Amino acid sequence: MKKAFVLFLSSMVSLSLAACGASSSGNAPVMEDTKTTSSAAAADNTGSTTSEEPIRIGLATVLTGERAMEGEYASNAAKIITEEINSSGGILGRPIEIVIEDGLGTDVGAVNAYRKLADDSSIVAIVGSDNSNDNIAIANEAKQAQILSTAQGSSPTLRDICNENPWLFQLRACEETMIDALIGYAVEELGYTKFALIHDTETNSSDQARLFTMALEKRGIKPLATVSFTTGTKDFTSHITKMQQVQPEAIIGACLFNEAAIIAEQIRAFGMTDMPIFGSNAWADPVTIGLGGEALNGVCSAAAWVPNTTNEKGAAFSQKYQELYGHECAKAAAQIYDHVSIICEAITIAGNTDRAAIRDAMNQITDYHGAITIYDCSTNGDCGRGGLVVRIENEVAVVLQEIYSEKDK
Amino acid sequence: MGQIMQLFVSGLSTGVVYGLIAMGMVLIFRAVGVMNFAQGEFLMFGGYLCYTFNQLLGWNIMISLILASVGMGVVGVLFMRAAYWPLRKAQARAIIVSAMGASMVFKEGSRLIWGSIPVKVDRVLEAPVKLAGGGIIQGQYLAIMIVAAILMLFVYLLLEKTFVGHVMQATAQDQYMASMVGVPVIFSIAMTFALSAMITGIGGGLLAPLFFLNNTMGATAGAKAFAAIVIGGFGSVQGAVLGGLIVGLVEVFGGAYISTTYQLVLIYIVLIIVLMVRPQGIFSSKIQEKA
Amino acid sequence: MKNKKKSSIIVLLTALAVFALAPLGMGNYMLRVLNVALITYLCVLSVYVLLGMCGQNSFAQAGLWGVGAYMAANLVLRAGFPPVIALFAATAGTALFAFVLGFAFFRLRQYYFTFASVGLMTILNGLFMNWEPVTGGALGMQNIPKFSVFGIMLESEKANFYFILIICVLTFVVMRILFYSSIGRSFMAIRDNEIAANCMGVNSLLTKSIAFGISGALCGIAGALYAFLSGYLSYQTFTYQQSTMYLIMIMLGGTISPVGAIIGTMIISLLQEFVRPLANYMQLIYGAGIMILMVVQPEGILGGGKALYETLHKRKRTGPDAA
Repeated sequence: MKKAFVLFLSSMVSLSLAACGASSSGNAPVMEDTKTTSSAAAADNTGSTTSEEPIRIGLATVLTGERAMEGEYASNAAKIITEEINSSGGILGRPIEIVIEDGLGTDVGAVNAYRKLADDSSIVAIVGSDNSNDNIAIANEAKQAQILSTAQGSSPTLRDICNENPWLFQLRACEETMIDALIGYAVEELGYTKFALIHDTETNSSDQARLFTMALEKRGIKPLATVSFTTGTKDFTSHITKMQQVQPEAIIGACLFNEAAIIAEQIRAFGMTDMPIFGSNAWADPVTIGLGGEALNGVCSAAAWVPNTTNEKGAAFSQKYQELYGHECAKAAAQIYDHVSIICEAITIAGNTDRAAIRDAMNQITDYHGAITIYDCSTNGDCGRGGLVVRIENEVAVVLQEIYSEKDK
Repeated sequence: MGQIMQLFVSGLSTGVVYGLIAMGMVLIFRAVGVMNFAQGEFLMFGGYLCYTFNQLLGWNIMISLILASVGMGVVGVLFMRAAYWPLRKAQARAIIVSAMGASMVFKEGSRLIWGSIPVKVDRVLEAPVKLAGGGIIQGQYLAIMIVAAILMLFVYLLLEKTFVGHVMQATAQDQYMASMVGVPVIFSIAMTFALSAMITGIGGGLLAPLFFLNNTMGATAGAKAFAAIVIGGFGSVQGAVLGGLIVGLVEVFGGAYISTTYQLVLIYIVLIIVLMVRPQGIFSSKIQEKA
Repeated sequence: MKNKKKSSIIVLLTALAVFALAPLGMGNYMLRVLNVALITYLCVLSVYVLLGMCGQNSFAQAGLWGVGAYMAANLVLRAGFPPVIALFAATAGTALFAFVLGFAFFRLRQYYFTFASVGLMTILNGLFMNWEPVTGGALGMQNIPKFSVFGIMLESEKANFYFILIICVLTFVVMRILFYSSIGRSFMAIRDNEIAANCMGVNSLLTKSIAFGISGALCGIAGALYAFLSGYLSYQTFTYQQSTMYLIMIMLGGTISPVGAIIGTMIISLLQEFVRPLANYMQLIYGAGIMILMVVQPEGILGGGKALYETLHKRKRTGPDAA
C-alpha cells in the first residue's frame, strides 16, 4: 500500500507539473494593480483608440528576503510609470501592464523569475534587478530566450557581458565616469592627496572600490590603506583604527546604505568630526541619510540620483513619488521609471511588439533624456551617460555638479 | 596604546550586546533543552516594537523600551504556546524546524507591517564618553552595558534567590519530576520564554540607534549569540555573557590584526576550536546529562 | 522477500515512467524548476543519510554543495578537464573533504556537531564570497559550459532533465543498497543508541565520518550538476538559509526513507512556484505552514502515512506487527 501511495504521489506530481508547465505559457499571474490600467484606459477619450490588449513588460525584482527594499521601490515606481503612460494614450495605442515576479534574492530565484516571464509569449521585454549577480545569472537566459532584457547593475564586468550579449542592456548611469568625476573633484578642486579606502566585499561595492582606486591611480595617487568588510558588519572599530593609522586627509567609502550610515556615525563618534568622506552612490541615498542623520553632513558622493536632482524629469518624478508614497524617492525607484520608459520608447520606434524588432530599436536610441540621466544605447553596456556629484548639507543631498560623458564610439 | 584601548572598549561594547542576546538564548535552552533558532528575531521584533512606540507614536525612549519589553513578554508567551508547547514531547529537530518556521513568520510579518526600508530609534544616552586610557565609547554603548549589568543581576537574583526562580530551575532540570511535585510546568516554561523574549527585546531597542533596524537583522545577531553560547558554555547565564564578550573581542582584535574581511569566519574558527578543545564551553552547566 | 523486491522494482519503474513523461509540453521555466528540484533532492538525500540514517543534524550541506560546484567549475574552466572527469572528481573531492572533516567534528556529541556544522557553513560561505582566486569572489564564476559526454553536449533543458533524472535514480538505488548493507545498519544503530552501538563493536568516529563522507559525495554530485546546468555560480546560492531549507524538506517528507526526501523536495520546490501570485506573502505562509506541519505531524508526510497505514492494518491483524 505504501508503494501504491508512492505511485499515486509521483503521478500527481508529474500531472501537476505538466499542468503548471502548460498553463505558464498562457497567462502568467499578474501582480500589477489592474485597476490603474483599466481606469486609465477609460479616462483616455481623446483621439487614439486604445485596444484592450495591453503591452506586457516583465519586471524581475526582489520582493522578499534581504534585498526586499529594492522590490518595494521598484513596484511603486512601476505603478507610477504605468499610470503615466496609460493616461497619455499608452504605447502604439495600447496600455502597458507591468508583470512583477519575485527573484527571492538568490541566483536560482532570479533565473526562475526571469524564465517564467520569458516563457510567457505575451511579454515583450524584461526589466532586471539591481544586483549584478542576478544580472549575470540571467545573461545567458536572455540570449537563449531572445527577449530584450535590461540590467541595473553597475559592475564593469556586467558592461563587458552586455557588450557581447545582443539581448542584454546595462541601463545604468556609468559608474566609472561618476567615480572619476568625484575623485576629480576631490583631488583637483579640493586638493586632497592622502586617502584611505573602506569597502564592502559584495559585488557592487568591490567594483566601486576598484573604480575608485583606478581613478586615483590615473591622478598618480595610491590609497594609503584599503580595508574591507562583509555586508552585515556592525562594528567598524578595527577598520577605522586601521585607517586612522595612516593618517589620511579624506576617507573613501564604497558600501550599501546600512553600513554607510553606521560607518559615518562611527567615524564621527571617534572624534573625526571634520574628516571629509567621499562615498559611493549609496551614501547620498535618502535611506542612508535617514539612518545616519547629522553624521552624513559634509559627505560628497557621485550619485546617479538624489531626490533633489537637477534633472527636470527626475524632479517631477521625485515629487510625485513622495506625494503618493510618503517617503523619499530612491534610486531603485528612479531606475525602474527610466527602464520602463526607455523600453516603451524602443517599442514606439519599432512600431510593433515583436521581440527582435524592439531589440533592434533599442540600439537606435542614442540620446534619451530620462529621470536619472541621458542614455545612449548604441552599444549595450554602460548606457547611462551621467550622474551627479552631490554633497550632503543639513541632511539633504545638494547637487554640486552634473556629470555627463559621451560614449567612446 | 590608545588604539588597543579603543579596540578593547569597542570589543567589550559589542560583546555585551551579543551577551544580552545569548543570555536570552541560554534561558530557553536551560528550560527546554533546545536551541531557539528564532532568538535573533526576538531582537529584531523587540527593536521594531520600540520603533513603533518611539518613532511612530512619538513617545519617550525609556517608556518605549519598557513598553516594548512588555510587548515582547507577551510575544514570548505566544511563541512558546505556538512553536514549543505542542511539540514538547517530540524530537528536538521538530522543535528546531518549528522555531525556524516561526522565525520566518517574524521576518516576513515585520516586513509586511513596517516595510523593508531600514529605520532607527532614539538613543538613550547621546554623547560619546571619553575614557581615561584614550578610548572613546559611544553613550549608547554605555547605556547598553548598564542595562545589561542590571538585567544580569536581575536574572541572577530571580533564578537563585526567589521562589519563582527556583520553580523555573526545577522545571528546567526535570520537567516530569517538577510536575510530580506540583510545579505548574506550562506556567513556568511560559515565564522563561517571556523573560528571554523581554531581555532580548530590550536589547533590540537599545541596539536600534546604533545598528538600525531591518527585518533581516535577526540572522546575524542570532548567529553571533549562538557562537557566544557555545564558547561561553551552555548551562549558565554567566557563560553566555562571557561568551558574548569573547566573541566581541575576537571580532574586533581579529579584524584589526588579522583580517577585516574574514571577521565572521574568524569567530567561527574560534568556535570550532573551542568545540574541539572544550566542548562544554568555559563555564559548563551545573547539571550534566548522564550517558 | 523476492516478491517484495519484484513489486518494489515494478513500482520504481512505473514511477520513473510517469516522471519521464512529465517534460512533454512543459516550458523552459518549469523544466528548470524541475531540474533544480532534482538537484536539491540530491542534497536533501545527503541530509537523509546523515539525519535519517545516522541521526546527526548538519547545517553545512549547502556549503558542501558549493564545494562540489566550485570544484567542478574550476576543474573544467581553469584546469581544462572534460566535464565527466570533473563530475567524478568533484564528487570524490567533496566526499573526501567531508570525510576528513568528519574525523575532526564527530568527536563532538550530537548537538555540538550541529553547532560545528553551522560554523563550517559560515566559513564556507565566507570563502565563496571572498576567496577570489578560486571562487571568483563576490562576482562568482561565469560561463561554465554545459555537461558533455562522448562529444554530446547537453544543451537543452530537456536533455539535462533526463541526465539528472538518471543520476537521481541511480543514487536512489544506491541508497536502498546502503540501507540494507551492514554499514547502513551501523548508521542506524548509532542513530538509535550510540553507546549500545559502541558496545556492539561499531566504531562511532569512523562510521559517522563515513556517513558524512557519503553525504559529501551526494552534495558533490549535486554541486557539479548545478554548475553545469546553470553556468553561473555565486555565493548567494550556497547559504545557511539553503541548508535550513533542506532540513525542512526532509522533515516535511519524513526522515525515515529516501522517498521522504523526494516528497519533501518536490512539494516545497513546486509550492514556491505555484504560490507566485502571492509572492509578497509567500514566505509568511511558508513559515506558518512549517509550524503547523510540525505540530500536526512531526514525522512528516511519510510518517503520517505510515501511522495511517498501521492504524488501518491493526484492525485486520492481531499480535505484533511485522512491519
